[in-house]
Amino acid sequence: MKTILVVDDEEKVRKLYNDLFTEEGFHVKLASNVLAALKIIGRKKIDVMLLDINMPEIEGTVLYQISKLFHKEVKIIVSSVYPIAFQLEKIQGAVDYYDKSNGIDELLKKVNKVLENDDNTKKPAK
Amino acid sequence: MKLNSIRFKTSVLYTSILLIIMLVFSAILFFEVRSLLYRDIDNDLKIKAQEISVILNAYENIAVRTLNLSSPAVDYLFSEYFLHRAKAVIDEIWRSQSKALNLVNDYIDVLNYQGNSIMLSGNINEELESLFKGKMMFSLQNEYFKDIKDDKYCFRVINHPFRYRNNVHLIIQVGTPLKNVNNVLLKTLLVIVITIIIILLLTSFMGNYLARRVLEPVMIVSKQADNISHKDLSQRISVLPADAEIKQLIISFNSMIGRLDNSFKLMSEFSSNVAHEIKTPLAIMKGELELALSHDRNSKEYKRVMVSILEEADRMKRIINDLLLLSKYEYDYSIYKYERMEICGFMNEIIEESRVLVIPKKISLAFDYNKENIFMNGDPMHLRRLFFNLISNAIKYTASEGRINIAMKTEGLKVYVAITDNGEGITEENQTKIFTKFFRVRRESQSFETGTGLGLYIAMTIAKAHQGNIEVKSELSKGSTFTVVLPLIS
Repeated sequence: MKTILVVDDEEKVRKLYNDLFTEEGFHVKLASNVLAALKIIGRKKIDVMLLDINMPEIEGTVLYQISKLFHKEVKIIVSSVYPIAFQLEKIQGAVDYYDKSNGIDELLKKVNKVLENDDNTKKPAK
Repeated sequence: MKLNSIRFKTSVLYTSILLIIMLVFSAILFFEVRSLLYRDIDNDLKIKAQEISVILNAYENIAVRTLNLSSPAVDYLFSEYFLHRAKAVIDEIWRSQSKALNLVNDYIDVLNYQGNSIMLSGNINEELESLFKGKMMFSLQNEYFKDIKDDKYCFRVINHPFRYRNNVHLIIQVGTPLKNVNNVLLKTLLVIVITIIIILLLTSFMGNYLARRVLEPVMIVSKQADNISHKDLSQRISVLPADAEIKQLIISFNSMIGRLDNSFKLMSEFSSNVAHEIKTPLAIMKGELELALSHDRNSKEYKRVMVSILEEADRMKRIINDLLLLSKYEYDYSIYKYERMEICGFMNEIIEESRVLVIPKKISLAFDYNKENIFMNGDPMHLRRLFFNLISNAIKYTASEGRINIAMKTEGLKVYVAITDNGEGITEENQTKIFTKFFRVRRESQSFETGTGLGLYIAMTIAKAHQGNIEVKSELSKGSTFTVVLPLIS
């Protein structure tokens, strides 16, 4: 069972993604700010992180950079209400980007795709 | 050169003024010269006429002495004789004295009291005679001058009456040709005209050149201004090479661009704020609906989703209203309708209306004040919004059974309304940030986010529009005091 960490300051968003991914068979962890997220990454093994860029006090970009340095194995999908082009300006090199206005089907597809690729790369070469 | 351009107009104006000045000057000059020349001639004629009369008198005296006249009959005879002889005299004078009196080119005509010519100088031919007779009037009383002319001749004639023997009235008319004078005047006129034309041509070219030089900075400014569009309002027009008056124009222009730049920035900031703030509740609504529809759910779950959607719709409505109000505040202060209002009664009303808001959380609400009948210039509708924003903030951030106290006091020409709660307080770091747009404090404990982050920003805008301010004092976990300062009128 894969573990997904949802980092978003909006409570309703966290609740929504919690319900969604739990139904899809994920183990879901929630964080409302960067500090809480860092604590969780430090303690548990996280497969995918859904990271909101616009958060008050500490922006999501900070969490992205720290993760890249110290928790390289965590796959990060950047999410925001802003369009993808804007997200790319803020963060380059994430494994995927998600525009929240596009609905949950797209989100599920992206998360599954990221995990699939991950599994493929982890399979030992014949 | 365009016909309605400054250059053309200035050139025409300048040339016209110069032309008028030169014409006036030339006219004065010309007529001065003419009058000087004529004066000379007139003096000459006068002298000549007097000389002639002297000679006539002298001759007559000699005749009187030699003939020894005494009776009127003899007088008459003599007059006739004299007149008959006088012609010969005139001729003789003309011949002998002409060089001395400079009468060579002149014509002499002596008339009797009836205006008939009795003697003419020998050089008068028929043509001249008819000219004299036709054009020259006579006067027994006055000495006067007249110009007479026809196609061939042009004369100035003096009419010089004189008496001899106290009873014989004669008129001596001497005419002198004006040919030389006219030549001089003509030449003068020609020189004047040519000079004027040359000067005008020169000055019109120079004027044109000067105008072009003066207007060059205007052209430069125009070209630079053409390049400035809303896409890049950071450009400014360079001030350095311009003269003082144009410099002022450029400075004004640049500051106008700066203001436009600010306005555009505000507008585009507003647009992106709207987009972002609205998209979040929309994304939530969409997500929840999609999730609910992805599997069969029971009616309790459906109900929960629908309630959540409703909440988000309300949130969007509040955001849009706040943002619209905000845009009006930022761009259009004319929506404030100031009137003289009494604050004590006003605040009492607000407190009474707020009592219903504190009931759910069982918060106590108290209002005290130290003075009644205090007046200010304000817009009651907007001030209501200001105070309700502050009071609802106090309620939101205070726990159940808490206290909210509102104290109003006056000091000099200012009123201080302090709204104190014993809620969770604000960190020092956040105390400056809370008045900024869309700032919401991160709170773990709240059940759902209802705010738009605009309440305090709007409150501050209203306070500032009334020449007032809002100050905050707070301590974490102890409570906060928001003090509204407003100016009074006496």
